[in-house]
Amino acid sequence: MFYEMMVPRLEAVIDHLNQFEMKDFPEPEQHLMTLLLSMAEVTFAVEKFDADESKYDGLPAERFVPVHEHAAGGLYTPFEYK
Amino acid sequence: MATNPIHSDLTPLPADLGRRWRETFPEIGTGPVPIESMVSRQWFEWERDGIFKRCWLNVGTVDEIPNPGDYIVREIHAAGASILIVRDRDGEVRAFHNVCRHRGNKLVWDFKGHRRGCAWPCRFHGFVYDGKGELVFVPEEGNFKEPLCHKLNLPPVALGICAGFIFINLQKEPDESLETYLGPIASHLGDYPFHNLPQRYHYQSFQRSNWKLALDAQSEVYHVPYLHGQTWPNLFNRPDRPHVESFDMQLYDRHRYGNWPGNPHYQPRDVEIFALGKYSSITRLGQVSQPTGPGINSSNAPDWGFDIVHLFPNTNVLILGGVWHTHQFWPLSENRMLWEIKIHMPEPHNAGERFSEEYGRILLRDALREDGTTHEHTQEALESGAIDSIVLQDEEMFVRHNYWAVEQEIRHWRDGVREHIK
Ligand code: FES
Ligand SMILES: [Fe+2]
Repeated sequence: MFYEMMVPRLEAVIDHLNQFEMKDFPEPEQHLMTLLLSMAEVTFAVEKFDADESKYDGLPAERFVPVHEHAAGGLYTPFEYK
Repeated sequence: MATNPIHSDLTPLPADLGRRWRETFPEIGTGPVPIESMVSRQWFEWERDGIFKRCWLNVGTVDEIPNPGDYIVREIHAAGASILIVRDRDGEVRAFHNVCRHRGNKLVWDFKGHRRGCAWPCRFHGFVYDGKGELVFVPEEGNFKEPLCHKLNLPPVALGICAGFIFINLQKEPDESLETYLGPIASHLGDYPFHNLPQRYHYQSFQRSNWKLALDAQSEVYHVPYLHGQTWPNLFNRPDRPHVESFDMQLYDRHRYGNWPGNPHYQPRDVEIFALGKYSSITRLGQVSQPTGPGINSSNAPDWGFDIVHLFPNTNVLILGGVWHTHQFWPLSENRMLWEIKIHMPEPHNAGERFSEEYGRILLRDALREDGTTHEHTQEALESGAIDSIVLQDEEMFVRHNYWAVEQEIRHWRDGVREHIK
């Protein structure tokens, strides 16, 4: 699986990418960077929760909203909260 | 007696552990805390009128609006107010009620942005206001009986800045200055270079819980080995202790400050080693942002983990290894609130640091989502009426202080009397 394939290569991947300026990655390096970043999410799930979602009982992701990704910069108050 | 070398760099435990804070701050009580203020409509109304409409409220930091024309909008739900905060072309930060003087439309509809030329037009009929809140353009102004420009301006809101933190006050004429209001907590804020770490992430979550009860979950470390047993194993508790005991607590009449250890022996697993060790950006606190005075890491401990600066009534500033974030709890009613988190981290310079940042963001996000579950479960259980009070241990002194400070503020506003911490 992705995690097991990436772990032994992680150091080499980071060392390779660290030679480039982040804002002008060539296309292959841009793809590699995306893979590296998704490793953060995957690692967390694998190393902490054995990739078993039922072991995690935090708020559902959709209720903890990353408004830094939203154009409006915040959430409108849901009607049932008004 | 032989000491284990692994413990040699750990700050020794104090002799009066377990009773020191209640002996230091007897004024705030030692008994069970009634749950009434977490479930009652009456308390919410007191908090609304006596606190949220009267106190200086933190609404953000200056790095959210760095350039002229930048703005943010903050909904102060408890007060039914929408506040527009802008940076004008002269560099000044100003706040106004977000309401157009023509027919009362909400002037700005989103929460963050930039207006070229520092001009804020109303979507309804095109009135335009400048960064001083002055009405500068009215379409077909001649059709009004009298000229309106520079007369019908946005209603101003009192604003003050301390260490880059922006505060507003909804009283027309605040009955005390920001400086008086902050008092001794300002010196804590002044001893950390917050501006070195820009805001990188911003989360919001509407929740079915009382705002104070949610704030409690960010006010003690007792819960970490249990609730966050999987997300944050041993990150803070040292190898000789299953729990995390504070180094310092300073309680003031309104605000509070605390200082806690980290675990210098924390062993990250496989990939975490890259995120928290080699290539790390989130642990390079030492290079970017050491405290600049005794107000932060007040015990000066080498095994420092994190500090909390609480700005009454609803803001916690958490400062930890290479990241600081604010938690804000905005009440909408006695059992509804908006939880808002802003995460500040060093700007990553390369892929390794970016990976470290991403990992740090997820580590924090998923632990906070665990906190979020307890907010709602606790509210639901308290509203069942099955229990009428909660009990607190010595290390949960911030929780006790939360209820004490809110109650004293309300008494002061309602009855003209309050108690003080000596
Ligand atoms: S309400 Fe704003 S221009 Fe009419
Ligand atoms: Fe927590």
